[in-house]
Amino acid sequence: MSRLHLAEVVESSTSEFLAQCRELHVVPPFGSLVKVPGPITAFALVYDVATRSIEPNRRATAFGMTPEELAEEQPQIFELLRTEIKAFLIGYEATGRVLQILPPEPPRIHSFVYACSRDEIKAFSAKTDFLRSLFNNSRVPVDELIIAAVRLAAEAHDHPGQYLVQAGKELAKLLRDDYDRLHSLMRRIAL
Amino acid sequence: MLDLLKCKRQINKMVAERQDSADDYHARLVRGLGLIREAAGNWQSLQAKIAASRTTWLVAGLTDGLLNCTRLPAAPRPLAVVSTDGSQIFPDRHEIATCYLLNLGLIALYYGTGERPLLSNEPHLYYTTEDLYPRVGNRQSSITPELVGLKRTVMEMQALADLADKAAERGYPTIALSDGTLILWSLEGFPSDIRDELLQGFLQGLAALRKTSVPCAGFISQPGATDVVNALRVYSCPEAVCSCDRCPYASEDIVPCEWLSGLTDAALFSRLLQPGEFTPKYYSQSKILSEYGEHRIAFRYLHVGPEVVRLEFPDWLTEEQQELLASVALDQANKGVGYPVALSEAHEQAVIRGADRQAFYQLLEDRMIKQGVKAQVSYKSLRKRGVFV
Repeated sequence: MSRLHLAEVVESSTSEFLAQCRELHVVPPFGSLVKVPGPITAFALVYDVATRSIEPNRRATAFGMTPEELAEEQPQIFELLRTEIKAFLIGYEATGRVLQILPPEPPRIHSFVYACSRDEIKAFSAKTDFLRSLFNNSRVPVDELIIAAVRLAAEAHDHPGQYLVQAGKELAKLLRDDYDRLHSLMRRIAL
Repeated sequence: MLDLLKCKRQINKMVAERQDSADDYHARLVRGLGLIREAAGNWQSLQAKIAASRTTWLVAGLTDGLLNCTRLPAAPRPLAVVSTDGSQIFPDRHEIATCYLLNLGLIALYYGTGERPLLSNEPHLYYTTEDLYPRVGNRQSSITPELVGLKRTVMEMQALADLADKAAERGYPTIALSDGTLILWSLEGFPSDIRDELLQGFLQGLAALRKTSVPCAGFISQPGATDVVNALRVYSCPEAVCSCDRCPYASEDIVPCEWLSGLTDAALFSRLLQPGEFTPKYYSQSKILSEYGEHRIAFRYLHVGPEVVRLEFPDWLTEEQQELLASVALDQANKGVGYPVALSEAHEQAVIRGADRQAFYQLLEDRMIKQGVKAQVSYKSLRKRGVFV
């Protein structure tokens, strides 16, 4: 894993943060676990990625060129765009323990955001309580985020199949009165 | 408060009058095109007549003919284009403290190398007594918006030379563009002390550019200049030598060259040039240029597609450098939908919007209060911010 930060927090609140990526288009995948070190190390799931103009009153326009032609003919535009990610806070680490509850204070503004290593993902996702906090949230695409997060977490575990069963049980508890939705989630997680 | 209903009648009248003159304008333009083609055939005699004449308007100096237009080659690769532009917060004595701010936009774009472009800006705050009360005509007087504007122009030119110097180190073709004229004619009205100071600063920038061998130009969009049209006035004058002060026709109703008024050089050349072509070199006869020395300014018109623009450059540019300059200006305008990308980005970097201005004064006020400095805006300014009924 690269030691360089991926992004920098530019807006922060109790349940989520917005961060500006260090490089254009270089983003952590949707649903991946990221961490923000600080007095408290916060963990969050990336739920939105957007690239737009730096200036609010300047919009990107279509040039009709391939990326290579654009780099050749209009090199300045890449300096005028930025990629931003939004991440949903799902836990934090304090005194060596990882807790799947909202951190007592949000990440500080201008903190760096790092991708989590395989070990960190494994340690954080060992318990699946975090799935519950993703429900009851209208701002994030809940089902898609759960699918992506569980699949990525499973890849980090030594026995992905076992992990999927564990996560499936948690989801079955959460969605016991919505069989269709549960079925749809399970089917897509297993793809 | 502007009453638009009261305005409307005047707007209607204005448009109707414009419409009438537009019909007449077209006929005069066609006549002007015929005249310039005729004059181009014996431009040497026109050149001599211009040299002998005393006119009240600026006449283009001719050395390379009147209509020998050139088709431009494609811009080279690799290539660097540097440009600067500026913007300001003018001194305002109704504000919390008298000071002014110049913000320079600095651009270096590299084509065909993959190198990251430079898009940045640099603010400069002026607040000392010397800044606010310069010596003008041997006495100290308050700085005016006009002087702030001229100071900005000087800084733009010096910053352009710095950028050109850095870009030229790469060893491939580099050109420098600035926005607007290189002829500081507005200095003519100033006393010699301040005029010399500003002009020397500007000429130092041009001298530094000359040292770097980077061709530079002022790019003028929608030019209103009439230097070439005025050469046609000389051509059409029935007198052997024009002397406008003693014009024998002035007392009569019709001055022989009067029909040319209202025509511009750009209007003529937009019908004489094809996109991608530029005119021969002409010299400006502006009075201030007598103080430019080796940096005397020449100009050429260039058809960039949507319009004809004027490129002003110092006379030390070789013919090859002028061609390079114009071909890059054309390429830049194509990339920027009619206006050079480097210049529009320089403007974007430099621009200070209303909200920025407010934030600037807010920062200043906060800092002054923290330091315990008395801070107060004028009553006039307070009333402008909120008027009671």
